[in-house]
Amino acid sequence: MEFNDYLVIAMFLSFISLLFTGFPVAWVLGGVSVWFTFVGYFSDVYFDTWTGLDYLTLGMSVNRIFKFMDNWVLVALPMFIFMGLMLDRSGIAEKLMKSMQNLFGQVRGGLAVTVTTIGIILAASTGIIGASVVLLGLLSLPAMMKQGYSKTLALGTIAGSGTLGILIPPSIMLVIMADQLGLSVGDLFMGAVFPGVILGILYIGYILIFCLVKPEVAPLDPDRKPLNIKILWDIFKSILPPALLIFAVLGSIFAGITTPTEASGVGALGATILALANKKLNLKVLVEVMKSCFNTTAYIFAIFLGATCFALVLRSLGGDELIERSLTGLPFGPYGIMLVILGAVFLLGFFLDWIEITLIVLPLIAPVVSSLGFEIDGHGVVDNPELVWFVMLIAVSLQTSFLTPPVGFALFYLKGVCPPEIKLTDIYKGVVPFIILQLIGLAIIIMWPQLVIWLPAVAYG
Amino acid sequence: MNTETNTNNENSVKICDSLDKLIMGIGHVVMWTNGVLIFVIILQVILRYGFGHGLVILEELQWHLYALGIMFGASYAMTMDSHIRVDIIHARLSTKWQNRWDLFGIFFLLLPFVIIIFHQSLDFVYESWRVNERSDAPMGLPFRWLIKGVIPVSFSLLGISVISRAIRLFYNLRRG
Repeated sequence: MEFNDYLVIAMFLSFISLLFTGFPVAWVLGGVSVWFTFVGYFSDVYFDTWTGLDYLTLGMSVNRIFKFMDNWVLVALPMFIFMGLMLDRSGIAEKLMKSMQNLFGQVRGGLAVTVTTIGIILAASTGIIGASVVLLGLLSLPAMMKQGYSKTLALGTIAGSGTLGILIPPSIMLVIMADQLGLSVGDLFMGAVFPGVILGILYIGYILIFCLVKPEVAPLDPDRKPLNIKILWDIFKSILPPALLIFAVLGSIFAGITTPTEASGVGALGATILALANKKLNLKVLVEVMKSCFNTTAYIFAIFLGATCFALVLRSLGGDELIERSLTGLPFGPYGIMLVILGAVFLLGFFLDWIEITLIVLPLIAPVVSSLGFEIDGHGVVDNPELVWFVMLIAVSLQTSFLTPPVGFALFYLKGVCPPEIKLTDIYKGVVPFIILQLIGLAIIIMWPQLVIWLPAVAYG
Repeated sequence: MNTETNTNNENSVKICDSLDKLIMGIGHVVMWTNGVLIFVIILQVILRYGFGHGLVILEELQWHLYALGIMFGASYAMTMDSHIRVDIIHARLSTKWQNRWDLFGIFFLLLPFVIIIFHQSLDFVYESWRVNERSDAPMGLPFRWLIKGVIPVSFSLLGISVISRAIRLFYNLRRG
């Protein structure tokens, strides 16, 4: 261990301990990097060490900040956020809920299936977990309680479905990951399709089977109407507009017609038109969406600012090599090391949001994953197939982490919109089966990487 | 998150109220860049796919608008107090200790960062201005130093909102 290695470890430790003061993550990152630059500089001057840190190191972060401003891929970010916020207010979720309930209400657990389906459709919505969980919770919890669903099933379904958004495209997390790892946004979006579908099937399958085995957890609606053509027509009418929008956005990216940035702008306009068509758009709503979009974009990019500075100092100290050395030095073989990394990400997900993990941790461990030598066939079309696969694994691990008691993010957001008689322990009990489903999904993707790689390979091949 | 608490009577400190109002006012203007951005993207899409060729200017305008939004947002989010915190322990602290840790963070972490980036960015912008830097593309936008100048401007706004917050926290702590 050299002096620089100690500094790297000290830097991580001070970052983590200062986080718990509750001071904003972005500024803890910025502040810690400033302090360690000065520590490095003074120890070079007075103690003959060689950290190479000085005031100019920090100056380089201004260049990096400008790289974020002058970044054509990331322009998609505020646009997708706008699209999500607008969809949330467009009244589409309510419409879907009302019409789908009539169809799925024919079977036990139908309401829970409706929630999962809406979760998948509106996953486009944000990828900001808080927003999706809150939306689904407000929308469906009262209905499920009224119909006499078991609390645990209802709560688990909402929390689980709400986290699907960070994975299912157009997820803003995947846009940022693509930017950080130099991958194609289109590859990541496509790669996420099958993992998303698998998780959706697992969720819905579990709900249906569980309700069949234990009918008392999900009573049927006593006033359910018999299925007729009108109900199906209503569903078709309510599902068509959002489906078209999402199809247009993803389809034009997948078909290689537009860039993700252009598609995001089209999506933002499309969501606005949907809101207008549903008579939900007025000046007040528009101003609220603008404010909220500005604010959300701002706190995400604040972390870019801090994390850039942090990464710069860490790299000058050789922190990336230290991490690579210690990970590849583990006596476990490639899959073992991969599991260690996923485990670490899972634990980090308890107190960091995906934004911080994507910006701080991912760039550090991506080279390690590349060097592990996974032989994944990209069919000569997908660049860095092992990284595309790895990104999906990270996304599913993070989702699982956000669901896991005692401190998963989704649980607290859900608690925030629950009536007071629902206790946090009810939510804890409810998410357990969904955590198991997530782990099954993760195992499936680990075992069959082609589930991720095949679609982008075929589409662009 | 709590937009209005900053201006209620209990927390009111005159100078901070006006500073916050300034930051919010600027934010409420700059936030429309996202609306303009949608418009510019759509225009570019129509030109490119409808008429066969897009304009370099529109392409560059897109990231200029986006850059304005992300940079000016930092101070707005500061005033709104919506930057992401890890609140596992924080949420269980008394308000007094929350305020104390915030003050500590502002003076030891945030202000040093803001001041250094601000200072370093001045050279960065000056250099660009000195050589009258413009877009690399012949048809691109001129005055690259103007968009680079957003860095010092947005960081000084961030500084203002931070100082306003520090004064407010300090008063609150004195009042007990």
